[in-house]
Amino acid sequence: MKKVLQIALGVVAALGGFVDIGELVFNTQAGAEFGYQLLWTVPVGVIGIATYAEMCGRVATITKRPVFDVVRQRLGFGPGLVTLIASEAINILTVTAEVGGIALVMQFYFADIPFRVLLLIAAVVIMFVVWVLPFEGIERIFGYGGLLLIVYIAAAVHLHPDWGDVASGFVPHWQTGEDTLIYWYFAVGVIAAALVPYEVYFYSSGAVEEGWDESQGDLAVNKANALFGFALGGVFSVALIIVAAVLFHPVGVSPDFLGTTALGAQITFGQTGLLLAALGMMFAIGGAAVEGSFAGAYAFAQFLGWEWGKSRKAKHSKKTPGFTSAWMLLFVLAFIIDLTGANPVLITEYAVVMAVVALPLTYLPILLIARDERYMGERVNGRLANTLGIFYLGLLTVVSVVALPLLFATNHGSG
Amino acid sequence: MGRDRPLAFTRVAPIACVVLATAALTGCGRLDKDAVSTELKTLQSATTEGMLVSGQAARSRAPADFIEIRTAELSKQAKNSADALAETPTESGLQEAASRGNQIGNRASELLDSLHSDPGNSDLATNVTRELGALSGDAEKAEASL
Repeated sequence: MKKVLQIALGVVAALGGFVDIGELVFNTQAGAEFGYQLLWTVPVGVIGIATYAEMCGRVATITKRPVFDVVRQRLGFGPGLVTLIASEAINILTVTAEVGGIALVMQFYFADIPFRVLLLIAAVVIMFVVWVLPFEGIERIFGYGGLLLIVYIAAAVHLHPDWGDVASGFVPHWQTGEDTLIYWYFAVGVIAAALVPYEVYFYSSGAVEEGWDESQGDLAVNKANALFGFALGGVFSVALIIVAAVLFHPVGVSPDFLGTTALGAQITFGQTGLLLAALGMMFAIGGAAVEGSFAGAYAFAQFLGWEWGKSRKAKHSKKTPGFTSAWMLLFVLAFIIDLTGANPVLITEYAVVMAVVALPLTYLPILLIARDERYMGERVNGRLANTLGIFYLGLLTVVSVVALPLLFATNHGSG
Repeated sequence: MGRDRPLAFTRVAPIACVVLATAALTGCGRLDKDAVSTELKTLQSATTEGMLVSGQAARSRAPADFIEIRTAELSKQAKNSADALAETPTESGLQEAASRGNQIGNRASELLDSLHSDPGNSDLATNVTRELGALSGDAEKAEASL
C-alpha cells in the first residue's frame, strides 16, 4: 500500500512538474498557428522523455550515480566539460525565462506594481521556499500546485473541438507550402520543450537524493513515474494545443505573450478559469525554475566532486556549501538578466532551441551506461529500451542540427 | 608607404562602389513583400487578440489588472508594427499597404491605451471591441492585397 501511494505521489509530482514556460509558450503557439496539425509532436516528445527518464532513474538506482556523474566518467574530462558549459548556459537561460515567467503571471493580478519589483519578489520567494523546504516538499508542492493547470484539460473538453480533427492531428505528416519552415520550427520546439536536459538531471539526482534502492522495489516506482507521469503531462500539452486551436487559430491570433495562454482559460471559464490558470502557471513555472537551478547546481557539484543534495532541511545546506551557492548563483544571474529587460518569452524560445543542441551530449552517455552490463548487471536495457533509445538519439541528432537554422530562418517562428 | 595608400584606395574603392550599388539595386534597407506581410499579420493578430480581451472587459469577465496588462502588451505590439511600417521605406508597389498598416497600428494602439487607462469601463470596452474588430478585418484585407 505504501508503495502504491509512493507511485501515485511520484506520478502526480512528475505530471505537475512536466509543464513549464516552454510547454506553455510552444504548445499555445503551435495550436494557434497550425490548429491540431502539430498534436503528433506531443507523443513523440513524451515517449522520448519517458524513455530517457526511465533509463536515468534505473542507472541512478543501480549505480547510485546521477546523470552528470555518468556523463563525466563515460565521456572523459574534455567532452564532459563541454557538456557542463553547454548545459549550464541552457540552465541559466531556462531559470531566467522561468523567473521572468513568474513575474509575468503575477502581473495578471498586480499590473500596477513595476515589473522589476515583481521579478525581485518572484526570485526572493522561490529562493526562500527552496532554502526552507526539504527536497520532497519542494518536489510535491510545485508538482501538486502545477496540477491546477488541469483547467486547460477541462477547457479543451468544454470547447467541444471536432474530435475527428483532433485524432487526425496525431498522425504525423510532412508539411509543404509557404509555412513549411515555421511548421517544422514549432514541431522541433514542442518536441524539444518535452526533452529539455534539466528534467533528466533533476530526475536522476532526485532518485539518488531519495535513496532509491532496487531491493525496495524502487525500479517499479521509477518505471511508473516515468511512464505515467510524463504521459499524463503530455495530456496537458495536448489540452493547451486544443484550446489554442479552437480559440486562436480560426481568428488568426499568433501568441507572443504568456497572457495569451492565460486568455484561453479566461475566455472559457471567466475569472475562475483565469485564477486557476494563473496559480497553475505560477506553480508549474516556479517548479521548473527550481528544477533548472538544481539541475545546474547538481551538474556543477557532480562534475567537480563537491558534496551535493537537498534531502534534509536547510541546516543540511551547511554541509553542501558549493551546491547551495551554485543554485543561489543561478537564481541571482537569472534575476540580473531579467532586470536588463529581456523578454522572458523570447528567452524561453531561445533556451528550448539551444537545449536541443546539447541533447545528444546529454543522452548519449546515459544510453551507453544503461546498455552496459558491467554497470547495470541484469538491469541492463532490454530490446525496447535500446530500440527507443537509439531511435531518439538519432532523432535528437538530426533535430540538434536543424534547430538553430530553423530558429533564425523563421525569425523564431514569426515568419 | 606613401605609394601604398593610393594603391589600396584604387583597389578598395571599386569594391565599395559595387557593394553600395548592389545594396541600392537590391533594395537593401527596404521592407520587401514578406516583411510588410509579416507586420500586417502581426497587426491582424494584435487587433484580434485585443478584440478578444476587450470583449471580456465589456462583459466584466476578467479582473481589471488582467485587462490593464494585456492591453498594454498588445498596444505596444501594434505600435511597434505601425512604426516599422512607417519608418522603413518599402519596395515599390507596397507603399499603400504599408501606409494603411501604419494607420491601423496607430489607431489600434490608441484604442488599447484608452482601455488600459480605464479597464473597468464596460461601455468603452464595448466600443473598443467593435472598432478593433473592424481594424482586424482591415489588416487582413491589406495583407491579402499584397
